[in-house]
Amino acid sequence: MVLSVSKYFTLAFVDFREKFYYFGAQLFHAFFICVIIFIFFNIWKAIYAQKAVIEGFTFAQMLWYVAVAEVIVFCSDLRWIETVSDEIKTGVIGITLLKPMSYVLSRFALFLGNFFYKFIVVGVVAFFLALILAGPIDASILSIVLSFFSIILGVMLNFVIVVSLGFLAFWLEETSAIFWIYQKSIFILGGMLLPLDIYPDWIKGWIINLPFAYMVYKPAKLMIQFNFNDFLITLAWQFGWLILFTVVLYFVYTVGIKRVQINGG
Amino acid sequence: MVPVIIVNNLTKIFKVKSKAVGFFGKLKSIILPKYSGVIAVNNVSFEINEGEIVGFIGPNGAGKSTTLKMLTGILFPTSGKIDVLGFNPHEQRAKLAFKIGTIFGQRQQLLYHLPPIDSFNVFSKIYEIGKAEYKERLASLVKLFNLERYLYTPVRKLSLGERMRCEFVASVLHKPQVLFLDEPTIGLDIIAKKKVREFIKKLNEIEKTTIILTSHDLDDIEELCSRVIIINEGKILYDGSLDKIKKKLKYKILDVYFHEPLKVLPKIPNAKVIEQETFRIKLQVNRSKISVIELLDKYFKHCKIDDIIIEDPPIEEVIEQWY
Repeated sequence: MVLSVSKYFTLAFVDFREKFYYFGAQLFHAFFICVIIFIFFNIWKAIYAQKAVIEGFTFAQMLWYVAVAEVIVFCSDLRWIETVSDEIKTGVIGITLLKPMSYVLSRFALFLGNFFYKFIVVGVVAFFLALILAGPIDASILSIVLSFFSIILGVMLNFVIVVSLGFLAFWLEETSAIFWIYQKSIFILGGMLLPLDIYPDWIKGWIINLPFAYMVYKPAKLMIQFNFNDFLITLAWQFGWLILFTVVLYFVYTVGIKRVQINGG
Repeated sequence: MVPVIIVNNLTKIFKVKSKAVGFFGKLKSIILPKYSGVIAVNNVSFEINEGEIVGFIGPNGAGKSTTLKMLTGILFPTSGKIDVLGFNPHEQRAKLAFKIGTIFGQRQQLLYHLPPIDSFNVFSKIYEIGKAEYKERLASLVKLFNLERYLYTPVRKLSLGERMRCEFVASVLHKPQVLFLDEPTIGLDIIAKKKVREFIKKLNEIEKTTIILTSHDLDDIEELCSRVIIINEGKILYDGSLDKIKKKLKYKILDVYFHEPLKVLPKIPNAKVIEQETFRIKLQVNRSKISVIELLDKYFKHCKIDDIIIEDPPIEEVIEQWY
Protein backbone atom coordinates (compact mmCIF):
# COMPACT_ATOMS: atom_id res chain seq x y z
CA MET A 1 0.00 0.00 0.00
CA VAL A 2 1.36 3.38 -0.97
CA LEU A 3 0.62 5.89 1.75
CA SER A 4 1.49 9.25 0.26
CA VAL A 5 -1.63 11.05 1.46
CA SER A 6 -1.62 14.10 -0.80
CA LYS A 7 -2.43 12.06 -3.93
CA TYR A 8 -5.64 10.81 -2.31
CA PHE A 9 -6.66 14.34 -1.28
CA THR A 10 -6.05 15.46 -4.86
CA LEU A 11 -8.18 12.60 -6.17
CA ALA A 12 -11.02 13.46 -3.75
CA PHE A 13 -10.87 17.13 -4.65
CA VAL A 14 -10.78 16.54 -8.41
CA ASP A 15 -13.68 14.10 -8.17
CA PHE A 16 -15.57 16.70 -6.14
CA ARG A 17 -14.98 19.19 -8.97
CA GLU A 18 -15.85 16.74 -11.73
CA LYS A 19 -19.17 15.96 -10.05
CA PHE A 20 -20.31 19.53 -10.65
CA TYR A 21 -20.82 18.56 -14.28
CA TYR A 22 -23.82 16.60 -13.00
CA PHE A 23 -25.17 19.54 -11.02
CA GLY A 24 -28.55 19.43 -12.79
CA ALA A 25 -28.98 15.73 -11.97
CA GLN A 26 -28.18 16.41 -8.32
CA LEU A 27 -30.83 19.10 -8.19
CA PHE A 28 -33.34 16.44 -9.27
CA HIS A 29 -32.12 14.27 -6.39
CA ALA A 30 -32.49 17.22 -4.04
CA PHE A 31 -36.03 17.74 -5.30
CA PHE A 32 -36.82 14.04 -4.73
CA ILE A 33 -35.50 14.18 -1.15
CA CYS A 34 -37.65 17.27 -0.59
CA VAL A 35 -40.67 15.28 -1.76
CA ILE A 36 -39.81 12.48 0.70
CA ILE A 37 -39.34 14.96 3.54
CA PHE A 38 -42.65 16.60 2.66
CA ILE A 39 -44.44 13.21 2.69
CA PHE A 40 -42.93 12.38 6.10
CA PHE A 41 -43.86 15.85 7.28
CA ASN A 42 -47.52 15.11 6.57
CA ILE A 43 -47.43 11.58 8.02
CA TRP A 44 -45.76 12.68 11.26
CA LYS A 45 -47.98 15.75 11.49
CA ALA A 46 -51.01 13.45 11.54
CA ILE A 47 -49.39 11.14 14.11
CA TYR A 48 -48.24 14.01 16.35
CA ALA A 49 -51.77 15.48 16.34
CA GLN A 50 -52.49 13.11 19.24
CA LYS A 51 -49.18 13.41 21.12
CA ALA A 52 -46.53 16.07 21.70
CA VAL A 53 -43.68 13.61 22.19
CA ILE A 54 -43.22 10.12 20.73
CA GLU A 55 -40.42 7.91 22.09
CA GLY A 56 -38.52 11.01 23.19
CA PHE A 57 -38.85 12.87 19.84
CA THR A 58 -40.85 16.07 19.39
CA PHE A 59 -42.43 16.68 15.99
CA ALA A 60 -39.62 19.06 14.95
CA GLN A 61 -36.95 16.59 16.11
CA MET A 62 -38.64 13.76 14.21
CA LEU A 63 -38.71 15.71 10.97
CA TRP A 64 -35.10 16.79 11.39
CA TYR A 65 -34.17 13.16 12.14
CA VAL A 66 -35.80 12.07 8.87
CA ALA A 67 -33.99 14.84 6.93
CA VAL A 68 -30.56 14.01 8.42
CA ALA A 69 -31.03 10.22 7.99
CA GLU A 70 -32.18 10.61 4.37
CA VAL A 71 -29.24 12.86 3.54
CA ILE A 72 -26.71 10.48 5.19
CA VAL A 73 -27.99 7.49 3.21
CA PHE A 74 -28.28 9.38 -0.05
CA CYS A 75 -24.78 10.88 0.22
CA SER A 76 -23.22 7.56 1.30
CA ASP A 77 -24.10 6.19 -2.14
CA LEU A 78 -24.75 2.50 -1.46
CA ARG A 79 -24.41 1.88 -5.22
CA TRP A 80 -20.67 1.70 -4.64
CA ILE A 81 -21.20 -2.04 -4.19
CA GLU A 82 -22.08 -2.13 -7.89
CA THR A 83 -19.45 0.45 -8.84
CA VAL A 84 -16.69 -1.72 -7.37
CA SER A 85 -18.09 -4.96 -8.75
CA ASP A 86 -18.46 -3.37 -12.22
CA GLU A 87 -14.83 -2.25 -12.09
CA ILE A 88 -13.87 -5.85 -11.37
CA LYS A 89 -16.12 -7.29 -14.07
CA THR A 90 -15.10 -4.83 -16.79
CA GLY A 91 -11.41 -4.77 -15.90
CA VAL A 92 -11.36 -1.04 -15.06
CA ILE A 93 -9.74 -2.09 -11.78
CA GLY A 94 -6.62 -2.82 -13.86
CA ILE A 95 -6.19 0.86 -14.79
CA THR A 96 -6.09 1.80 -11.10
CA LEU A 97 -3.81 -1.10 -10.22
CA LEU A 98 -1.30 0.18 -12.78
CA LYS A 99 -0.84 3.37 -10.78
CA PRO A 100 1.41 3.69 -7.74
CA MET A 101 -1.44 3.96 -5.28
CA SER A 102 -3.72 1.79 -3.22
CA TYR A 103 -6.91 0.74 -5.01
CA VAL A 104 -8.95 0.86 -1.81
CA LEU A 105 -7.67 4.28 -0.72
CA SER A 106 -8.16 5.71 -4.20
CA ARG A 107 -11.78 4.51 -4.15
CA PHE A 108 -12.15 5.95 -0.65
CA ALA A 109 -10.91 9.32 -1.94
CA LEU A 110 -13.48 9.24 -4.75
CA PHE A 111 -16.18 8.09 -2.32
CA LEU A 112 -15.44 11.03 0.01
CA GLY A 113 -15.34 13.51 -2.89
CA ASN A 114 -18.74 12.19 -3.94
CA PHE A 115 -20.08 12.34 -0.36
CA PHE A 116 -19.10 15.97 0.24
CA TYR A 117 -20.38 17.07 -3.14
CA LYS A 118 -23.78 15.46 -2.53
CA PHE A 119 -23.86 16.67 1.05
CA ILE A 120 -23.37 20.26 -0.09
CA VAL A 121 -25.90 20.14 -2.93
CA VAL A 122 -28.61 17.86 -1.51
CA GLY A 123 -27.94 18.42 2.19
CA VAL A 124 -28.33 22.17 1.99
CA VAL A 125 -31.67 21.91 0.17
CA ALA A 126 -33.01 19.17 2.49
CA PHE A 127 -32.01 20.97 5.70
CA PHE A 128 -33.43 24.24 4.44
CA LEU A 129 -36.76 22.52 3.82
CA ALA A 130 -36.67 20.91 7.28
CA LEU A 131 -36.03 24.34 8.75
CA ILE A 132 -39.02 25.82 6.93
CA LEU A 133 -41.38 22.95 7.78
CA ALA A 134 -40.33 22.18 11.36
CA GLY A 135 -38.40 25.21 12.50
CA PRO A 136 -35.01 25.15 14.23
CA ILE A 137 -34.01 22.54 16.80
CA ASP A 138 -31.90 22.96 19.89
CA ALA A 139 -28.29 22.31 18.83
CA SER A 140 -24.99 24.05 19.53
CA ILE A 141 -22.18 24.48 17.00
CA LEU A 142 -20.03 22.07 19.04
CA SER A 143 -22.76 19.40 19.06
CA ILE A 144 -23.21 19.80 15.28
CA VAL A 145 -19.44 19.49 14.67
CA LEU A 146 -19.12 16.42 16.92
CA SER A 147 -22.22 14.80 15.41
CA PHE A 148 -20.84 15.48 11.94
CA PHE A 149 -17.65 13.68 12.98
CA SER A 150 -19.80 10.70 13.95
CA ILE A 151 -21.59 10.94 10.58
CA ILE A 152 -18.21 10.79 8.81
CA LEU A 153 -17.22 7.71 10.83
CA GLY A 154 -20.53 6.11 9.87
CA VAL A 155 -19.88 6.97 6.22
CA MET A 156 -16.41 5.38 6.49
CA LEU A 157 -17.93 2.27 8.04
CA ASN A 158 -20.43 2.13 5.20
CA PHE A 159 -17.59 2.51 2.65
CA VAL A 160 -15.57 -0.35 4.14
CA ILE A 161 -18.59 -2.69 4.11
CA VAL A 162 -19.77 -1.59 0.67
CA VAL A 163 -16.32 -2.12 -0.92
CA SER A 164 -15.95 -5.51 0.80
CA LEU A 165 -19.33 -6.52 -0.63
CA GLY A 166 -18.32 -5.16 -4.05
CA PHE A 167 -15.20 -7.33 -3.92
CA LEU A 168 -17.43 -10.39 -3.71
CA ALA A 169 -17.66 -9.94 -7.49
CA PHE A 170 -14.28 -11.72 -7.59
CA TRP A 171 -16.22 -14.87 -6.68
CA LEU A 172 -19.86 -14.19 -7.51
CA GLU A 173 -19.50 -11.95 -10.60
CA GLU A 174 -22.99 -10.53 -9.97
CA THR A 175 -23.65 -8.45 -6.85
CA SER A 176 -26.98 -6.77 -7.59
CA ALA A 177 -28.80 -9.07 -5.12
CA ILE A 178 -26.28 -8.17 -2.41
CA PHE A 179 -26.79 -4.49 -3.14
CA TRP A 180 -30.57 -4.92 -2.84
CA ILE A 181 -30.34 -6.71 0.51
CA TYR A 182 -27.77 -4.25 1.89
CA GLN A 183 -29.80 -1.23 0.78
CA LYS A 184 -32.97 -2.56 2.44
CA SER A 185 -31.01 -3.39 5.60
CA ILE A 186 -29.81 0.21 5.81
CA PHE A 187 -33.37 1.48 5.26
CA ILE A 188 -34.92 -0.73 7.93
CA LEU A 189 -32.18 -1.79 10.36
CA GLY A 190 -30.17 1.40 9.96
CA GLY A 191 -33.10 3.60 10.90
CA MET A 192 -33.43 5.59 7.72
CA LEU A 193 -37.20 5.37 7.55
CA LEU A 194 -37.86 5.48 11.30
CA PRO A 195 -35.71 6.08 14.35
CA LEU A 196 -35.02 2.70 15.95
CA ASP A 197 -36.70 3.98 19.17
CA ILE A 198 -40.07 3.49 17.44
CA TYR A 199 -39.49 -0.29 17.04
CA PRO A 200 -40.69 -2.70 19.74
CA ASP A 201 -38.10 -3.11 22.49
CA TRP A 202 -37.22 -6.72 21.61
CA ILE A 203 -36.44 -5.78 17.99
CA LYS A 204 -34.58 -2.64 19.02
CA GLY A 205 -32.52 -4.75 21.43
CA TRP A 206 -31.44 -6.94 18.53
CA ILE A 207 -30.62 -4.28 15.99
CA ILE A 208 -29.39 -1.35 18.07
CA ASN A 209 -25.76 -2.45 18.05
CA LEU A 210 -25.55 -3.76 14.49
CA PRO A 211 -23.24 -1.76 12.19
CA PHE A 212 -26.25 -0.39 10.25
CA ALA A 213 -27.40 1.59 13.31
CA TYR A 214 -23.96 3.22 13.59
CA MET A 215 -24.11 4.43 10.01
CA VAL A 216 -27.48 6.20 10.18
CA TYR A 217 -29.52 6.04 13.39
CA LYS A 218 -26.88 6.88 15.99
CA PRO A 219 -25.16 9.78 14.13
CA ALA A 220 -28.55 11.23 13.05
CA LYS A 221 -29.90 11.01 16.59
CA LEU A 222 -26.76 12.69 17.94
CA MET A 223 -27.38 15.56 15.54
CA ILE A 224 -30.94 15.97 16.90
CA GLN A 225 -30.49 15.12 20.58
CA PHE A 226 -26.81 15.51 21.35
CA ASN A 227 -25.51 13.94 24.53
CA PHE A 228 -21.77 13.74 25.22
CA ASN A 229 -22.02 10.35 26.87
CA ASP A 230 -23.94 8.93 23.89
CA PHE A 231 -21.40 10.53 21.59
CA LEU A 232 -18.48 8.71 23.26
CA ILE A 233 -20.32 5.37 23.28
CA THR A 234 -21.30 5.81 19.62
CA LEU A 235 -17.70 6.65 18.70
CA ALA A 236 -16.39 3.56 20.52
CA TRP A 237 -18.83 1.30 18.66
CA GLN A 238 -18.12 2.98 15.36
CA PHE A 239 -14.37 2.51 15.78
CA GLY A 240 -14.92 -1.10 16.84
CA TRP A 241 -17.03 -1.92 13.77
CA LEU A 242 -14.66 0.05 11.55
CA ILE A 243 -11.61 -1.94 12.72
CA LEU A 244 -13.45 -5.25 12.34
CA PHE A 245 -14.69 -4.51 8.81
CA THR A 246 -11.33 -3.05 7.77
CA VAL A 247 -9.78 -6.42 8.65
CA VAL A 248 -12.52 -8.13 6.61
CA LEU A 249 -11.88 -5.74 3.70
CA TYR A 250 -8.14 -6.38 3.85
CA PHE A 251 -8.72 -10.13 3.79
CA VAL A 252 -11.26 -10.02 0.94
CA TYR A 253 -9.04 -7.68 -1.10
CA THR A 254 -5.82 -9.65 -0.57
CA VAL A 255 -7.42 -12.93 -1.57
CA GLY A 256 -9.63 -11.46 -4.31
CA ILE A 257 -7.00 -9.42 -6.13
CA LYS A 258 -5.23 -12.63 -7.15
CA ARG A 259 -8.37 -13.55 -9.03
CA VAL A 260 -8.39 -10.47 -11.27
CA GLN A 261 -9.22 -11.42 -14.82
CA ILE A 262 -9.05 -8.60 -17.31
CA ASN A 263 -10.30 -9.83 -20.61
CA GLY A 264 -9.49 -8.16 -23.88
CA GLY A 265 -7.21 -5.21 -24.49
CA MET B 1 22.91 -4.71 -23.79
CA VAL B 2 21.16 -4.67 -20.43
CA PRO B 3 17.99 -6.75 -20.16
CA VAL B 4 15.21 -4.75 -18.45
CA ILE B 5 12.65 -7.53 -18.75
CA ILE B 6 13.42 -11.18 -18.09
CA VAL B 7 10.63 -13.73 -18.43
CA ASN B 8 11.17 -17.40 -17.64
CA ASN B 9 8.66 -20.19 -18.26
CA LEU B 10 5.70 -17.90 -17.76
CA THR B 11 2.30 -19.58 -17.72
CA LYS B 12 -1.16 -18.20 -17.05
CA ILE B 13 -4.16 -20.48 -16.74
CA PHE B 14 -7.56 -18.86 -16.28
CA LYS B 15 -10.04 -20.83 -14.21
CA VAL B 16 -13.38 -20.83 -16.00
CA LYS B 17 -16.59 -22.06 -14.41
CA SER B 18 -18.29 -24.65 -16.62
CA LYS B 19 -21.84 -23.69 -17.49
CA ALA B 20 -24.40 -26.31 -16.58
CA VAL B 21 -27.46 -27.11 -18.67
CA GLY B 22 -31.01 -27.27 -17.29
CA PHE B 23 -32.48 -26.30 -13.93
CA PHE B 24 -30.99 -29.18 -11.92
CA GLY B 25 -27.65 -28.80 -13.67
CA LYS B 26 -27.55 -25.12 -12.71
CA LEU B 27 -28.59 -25.96 -9.13
CA LYS B 28 -25.83 -28.56 -8.96
CA SER B 29 -23.28 -26.10 -10.37
CA ILE B 30 -24.06 -23.69 -7.51
CA ILE B 31 -23.41 -26.35 -4.88
CA LEU B 32 -20.65 -28.23 -6.69
CA PRO B 33 -19.19 -25.87 -9.28
CA LYS B 34 -16.98 -27.38 -11.95
CA TYR B 35 -14.05 -25.45 -13.32
CA SER B 36 -11.89 -25.91 -16.35
CA GLY B 37 -8.56 -24.28 -17.11
CA VAL B 38 -7.95 -22.11 -20.15
CA ILE B 39 -4.27 -21.73 -20.94
CA ALA B 40 -3.76 -18.12 -22.00
CA VAL B 41 0.04 -18.08 -21.82
CA ASN B 42 1.97 -21.31 -22.11
CA ASN B 43 5.53 -21.59 -20.81
CA VAL B 44 6.82 -18.42 -22.42
CA SER B 45 10.42 -17.16 -22.01
CA PHE B 46 12.10 -14.06 -23.43
CA GLU B 47 14.31 -11.12 -22.58
CA ILE B 48 13.94 -7.49 -23.64
CA ASN B 49 16.91 -5.13 -23.59
CA GLU B 50 17.03 -1.50 -22.62
CA GLY B 51 15.94 0.84 -25.43
CA GLU B 52 14.35 -1.87 -27.60
CA ILE B 53 10.96 -1.48 -29.26
CA VAL B 54 9.40 -4.91 -29.32
CA GLY B 55 6.14 -5.75 -31.05
CA PHE B 56 3.90 -8.46 -29.67
CA ILE B 57 1.73 -9.76 -32.44
CA GLY B 58 -0.81 -12.48 -32.76
CA PRO B 59 -4.51 -13.06 -33.40
CA ASN B 60 -7.23 -12.25 -30.85
CA GLY B 61 -6.92 -14.41 -27.76
CA ALA B 62 -3.29 -15.30 -28.54
CA GLY B 63 -2.08 -14.23 -25.09
CA LYS B 64 -0.47 -10.88 -25.96
CA SER B 65 -2.46 -8.68 -23.57
CA THR B 66 -2.36 -11.31 -20.83
CA THR B 67 1.45 -11.36 -21.06
CA LEU B 68 1.55 -7.56 -20.92
CA LYS B 69 -0.76 -7.50 -17.91
CA MET B 70 1.45 -9.98 -16.09
CA LEU B 71 4.52 -7.87 -16.92
CA THR B 72 2.82 -4.82 -15.38
CA GLY B 73 1.78 -6.76 -12.28
CA ILE B 74 -2.00 -6.55 -12.57
CA LEU B 75 -2.38 -10.24 -13.36
CA PHE B 76 -0.85 -12.96 -11.21
CA PRO B 77 0.98 -15.65 -13.21
CA THR B 78 0.07 -19.28 -12.60
CA SER B 79 3.75 -20.21 -12.77
CA GLY B 80 7.07 -18.90 -14.01
CA LYS B 81 9.24 -15.92 -13.18
CA ILE B 82 9.09 -12.29 -14.28
CA ASP B 83 11.66 -9.60 -13.62
CA VAL B 84 10.89 -6.07 -14.81
CA LEU B 85 13.57 -3.50 -13.94
CA GLY B 86 14.60 -5.69 -11.02
CA PHE B 87 11.06 -5.95 -9.62
CA ASN B 88 8.72 -8.88 -9.35
CA PRO B 89 5.65 -7.19 -10.89
CA HIS B 90 2.81 -8.89 -9.00
CA GLU B 91 4.58 -8.69 -5.64
CA GLN B 92 5.99 -5.16 -6.06
CA ARG B 93 3.29 -3.68 -8.27
CA ALA B 94 3.12 -0.23 -6.65
CA LYS B 95 6.91 0.23 -6.63
CA LEU B 96 7.17 -0.91 -10.24
CA ALA B 97 4.34 1.45 -11.23
CA PHE B 98 6.66 4.44 -10.64
CA LYS B 99 9.05 3.07 -13.29
CA ILE B 100 6.65 1.98 -16.01
CA GLY B 101 4.00 3.62 -18.15
CA THR B 102 1.00 1.98 -19.73
CA ILE B 103 -1.54 2.72 -22.39
CA PHE B 104 -4.43 0.42 -23.02
CA GLY B 105 -5.97 1.76 -26.21
CA GLN B 106 -9.42 0.54 -25.25
CA ARG B 107 -9.41 1.98 -21.75
CA GLN B 108 -9.30 5.61 -20.78
CA GLN B 109 -7.45 7.05 -17.81
CA LEU B 110 -8.19 10.76 -18.29
CA LEU B 111 -10.94 12.49 -16.29
CA TYR B 112 -13.77 12.67 -18.80
CA HIS B 113 -15.45 15.92 -17.80
CA LEU B 114 -12.37 17.94 -16.91
CA PRO B 115 -9.69 19.38 -19.19
CA PRO B 116 -6.52 17.26 -19.70
CA ILE B 117 -4.50 19.67 -17.54
CA ASP B 118 -6.50 18.49 -14.50
CA SER B 119 -5.70 14.85 -15.27
CA PHE B 120 -2.02 15.75 -15.71
CA ASN B 121 -2.05 17.54 -12.34
CA VAL B 122 -3.60 14.47 -10.69
CA PHE B 123 -1.05 12.18 -12.33
CA SER B 124 1.81 14.39 -11.15
CA LYS B 125 0.54 13.87 -7.59
CA ILE B 126 -0.04 10.14 -8.06
CA TYR B 127 3.50 9.68 -9.40
CA GLU B 128 4.87 12.05 -6.74
CA ILE B 129 6.62 14.31 -9.27
CA GLY B 130 8.14 17.51 -7.82
CA LYS B 131 6.44 20.78 -8.84
CA ALA B 132 9.37 22.25 -10.80
CA GLU B 133 10.14 18.94 -12.50
CA TYR B 134 6.45 18.49 -13.43
CA LYS B 135 6.20 21.98 -14.87
CA GLU B 136 9.26 21.48 -17.04
CA ARG B 137 8.24 17.99 -18.14
CA LEU B 138 4.69 19.02 -19.00
CA ALA B 139 5.90 21.99 -21.04
CA SER B 140 8.19 19.79 -23.13
CA LEU B 141 5.52 17.10 -23.69
CA VAL B 142 2.85 19.65 -24.58
CA LYS B 143 5.24 21.10 -27.16
CA LEU B 144 6.18 17.69 -28.50
CA PHE B 145 2.54 16.69 -28.86
CA ASN B 146 1.36 20.08 -29.98
CA LEU B 147 -1.29 20.10 -27.27
CA GLU B 148 -1.38 23.79 -26.32
CA ARG B 149 -4.81 24.23 -27.88
CA TYR B 150 -6.43 21.32 -26.07
CA LEU B 151 -4.96 21.66 -22.61
CA TYR B 152 -7.97 23.47 -21.19
CA THR B 153 -10.71 21.79 -23.24
CA PRO B 154 -12.79 19.14 -21.42
CA VAL B 155 -11.69 15.65 -22.48
CA ARG B 156 -15.22 14.75 -23.62
CA LYS B 157 -14.96 17.49 -26.27
CA LEU B 158 -11.69 16.19 -27.75
CA SER B 159 -11.46 13.94 -30.79
CA LEU B 160 -10.18 10.39 -30.30
CA GLY B 161 -6.79 11.33 -31.76
CA GLU B 162 -6.42 14.37 -29.50
CA ARG B 163 -7.51 12.30 -26.53
CA MET B 164 -4.98 9.59 -27.33
CA ARG B 165 -2.18 12.15 -27.48
CA CYS B 166 -3.26 13.37 -24.05
CA GLU B 167 -3.31 9.74 -22.83
CA PHE B 168 0.31 9.46 -23.96
CA VAL B 169 1.31 12.58 -22.09
CA ALA B 170 -0.42 11.29 -18.94
CA SER B 171 1.40 7.97 -19.28
CA VAL B 172 4.90 9.36 -19.71
CA LEU B 173 4.80 12.36 -17.35
CA HIS B 174 6.89 10.44 -14.82
CA LYS B 175 9.54 9.45 -17.41
CA PRO B 176 8.92 5.70 -17.35
CA GLN B 177 11.84 3.46 -18.21
CA VAL B 178 9.53 0.91 -19.80
CA LEU B 179 6.35 1.76 -21.68
CA PHE B 180 3.68 -0.88 -22.32
CA LEU B 181 1.37 -0.04 -25.19
CA ASP B 182 -1.64 -2.26 -25.80
CA GLU B 183 -3.28 -1.32 -29.10
CA PRO B 184 -2.27 2.35 -28.84
CA THR B 185 -3.58 3.30 -32.27
CA ILE B 186 -6.89 1.46 -32.14
CA GLY B 187 -9.69 3.50 -33.71
CA LEU B 188 -7.42 6.36 -34.81
CA ASP B 189 -7.40 7.86 -38.29
CA ILE B 190 -4.27 7.75 -40.48
CA ILE B 191 -2.99 11.18 -39.43
CA ALA B 192 -3.51 10.54 -35.72
CA LYS B 193 -1.81 7.14 -36.07
CA LYS B 194 1.15 8.79 -37.78
CA LYS B 195 1.49 11.33 -34.97
CA VAL B 196 1.33 8.64 -32.30
CA ARG B 197 3.98 6.59 -34.10
CA GLU B 198 6.23 9.62 -34.46
CA PHE B 199 5.93 10.26 -30.74
CA ILE B 200 6.75 6.66 -29.84
CA LYS B 201 9.86 6.86 -32.04
CA LYS B 202 10.94 10.17 -30.51
CA LEU B 203 10.41 8.91 -26.99
CA ASN B 204 12.53 5.87 -27.73
CA GLU B 205 15.27 7.93 -29.37
CA ILE B 206 15.42 10.80 -26.87
CA GLU B 207 14.74 9.05 -23.58
CA LYS B 208 15.86 5.53 -24.52
CA THR B 209 12.52 4.25 -23.26
CA THR B 210 12.04 0.54 -23.73
CA ILE B 211 8.72 0.00 -25.49
CA ILE B 212 6.61 -3.12 -25.65
CA LEU B 213 3.80 -2.82 -28.09
CA THR B 214 0.85 -4.96 -29.10
CA SER B 215 -1.13 -4.00 -32.14
CA HIS B 216 -3.39 -5.46 -34.76
CA ASP B 217 -2.28 -2.67 -37.06
CA LEU B 218 0.78 -4.21 -38.60
CA ASP B 219 1.89 -0.82 -39.96
CA ASP B 220 2.55 0.11 -36.33
CA ILE B 221 4.78 -2.92 -35.99
CA GLU B 222 6.53 -2.41 -39.29
CA GLU B 223 7.24 1.28 -38.65
CA LEU B 224 8.25 1.00 -35.02
CA CYS B 225 9.58 -2.39 -34.07
CA SER B 226 13.01 -3.74 -34.82
CA ARG B 227 12.04 -6.96 -33.09
CA VAL B 228 8.79 -8.89 -33.07
CA ILE B 229 7.48 -11.69 -30.91
CA ILE B 230 4.78 -13.67 -32.64
CA ILE B 231 2.49 -15.37 -30.17
CA ASN B 232 -0.40 -17.73 -30.78
CA GLU B 233 -2.38 -19.96 -28.43
CA GLY B 234 -0.15 -18.73 -25.62
CA LYS B 235 3.09 -19.89 -27.22
CA ILE B 236 5.90 -17.92 -28.81
CA LEU B 237 6.17 -18.91 -32.46
CA TYR B 238 8.87 -16.47 -33.44
CA ASP B 239 11.16 -14.04 -31.65
CA GLY B 240 13.50 -11.99 -33.80
CA SER B 241 13.81 -9.20 -36.32
CA LEU B 242 11.09 -8.36 -38.78
CA ASP B 243 13.66 -8.34 -41.59
CA LYS B 244 14.64 -11.90 -40.79
CA ILE B 245 11.07 -13.07 -41.24
CA LYS B 246 10.83 -11.27 -44.52
CA LYS B 247 14.05 -12.88 -45.76
CA LYS B 248 12.60 -16.28 -45.06
CA LEU B 249 9.64 -15.53 -47.28
CA LYS B 250 9.11 -17.70 -50.30
CA TYR B 251 7.23 -15.01 -52.21
CA LYS B 252 7.97 -11.55 -53.59
CA ILE B 253 5.47 -9.20 -55.14
CA LEU B 254 6.45 -7.96 -58.58
CA ASP B 255 4.69 -4.92 -60.00
CA VAL B 256 5.54 -4.34 -63.67
CA TYR B 257 4.48 -1.23 -65.64
CA PHE B 258 4.61 -1.52 -69.43
CA HIS B 259 5.10 1.20 -72.02
CA GLU B 260 2.51 -0.33 -74.33
CA PRO B 261 -0.56 -2.49 -73.67
CA LEU B 262 0.23 -6.09 -72.87
CA LYS B 263 -1.56 -7.98 -75.64
CA VAL B 264 -1.04 -11.57 -74.59
CA LEU B 265 -0.21 -12.54 -71.06
CA PRO B 266 2.34 -15.33 -71.08
CA LYS B 267 1.65 -18.33 -68.87
CA ILE B 268 4.30 -18.17 -66.18
CA PRO B 269 4.79 -21.17 -63.90
CA ASN B 270 5.51 -20.33 -60.21
CA ALA B 271 4.03 -16.84 -60.57
CA LYS B 272 0.46 -15.95 -59.72
CA VAL B 273 -1.31 -12.97 -61.24
CA ILE B 274 -2.71 -10.79 -58.44
CA GLU B 275 -3.81 -7.76 -60.49
CA GLN B 276 -3.90 -7.04 -64.18
CA GLU B 277 -4.51 -3.79 -66.03
CA THR B 278 -3.85 -2.69 -69.62
CA PHE B 279 -0.38 -1.30 -68.86
CA ARG B 280 0.37 -3.12 -65.64
CA ILE B 281 0.62 -6.54 -64.09
CA LYS B 282 1.14 -7.54 -60.46
CA LEU B 283 2.55 -10.99 -59.77
CA GLN B 284 3.29 -13.10 -56.72
CA VAL B 285 6.54 -14.84 -57.52
CA ASN B 286 7.75 -18.03 -55.88
CA ARG B 287 11.41 -17.18 -55.41
CA SER B 288 12.46 -20.69 -54.55
CA LYS B 289 11.43 -21.81 -58.05
CA ILE B 290 12.20 -18.79 -60.18
CA SER B 291 14.21 -15.62 -59.62
CA VAL B 292 12.76 -12.22 -60.54
CA ILE B 293 15.55 -11.59 -63.08
CA GLU B 294 14.96 -14.96 -64.67
CA LEU B 295 11.23 -14.32 -64.88
CA LEU B 296 11.66 -10.90 -66.52
CA ASP B 297 14.23 -12.22 -68.93
CA LYS B 298 12.21 -15.27 -69.88
CA TYR B 299 8.68 -13.88 -70.20
CA PHE B 300 8.88 -10.12 -70.69
CA LYS B 301 12.04 -9.87 -72.80
CA HIS B 302 10.19 -8.45 -75.80
CA CYS B 303 8.01 -6.03 -73.84
CA LYS B 304 8.98 -2.41 -73.34
CA ILE B 305 8.95 -1.92 -69.58
CA ASP B 306 8.56 1.50 -67.93
CA ASP B 307 9.01 0.55 -64.30
CA ILE B 308 9.41 -2.43 -61.99
CA ILE B 309 8.62 -2.48 -58.28
CA ILE B 310 9.69 -5.44 -56.17
CA GLU B 311 7.95 -5.64 -52.80
CA ASP B 312 7.67 -7.95 -49.86
CA PRO B 313 4.17 -9.34 -49.39
CA PRO B 314 1.98 -7.41 -46.90
CA ILE B 315 3.02 -8.09 -43.34
CA GLU B 316 -0.41 -9.64 -42.61
CA GLU B 317 0.51 -12.44 -45.02
CA VAL B 318 3.97 -12.69 -43.53
CA ILE B 319 2.52 -13.17 -40.07
CA GLU B 320 -0.17 -15.50 -41.34
CA GLN B 321 2.53 -17.93 -42.41
CA TRP B 322 3.56 -18.30 -38.76
CA TYR B 323 0.10 -18.95 -37.31
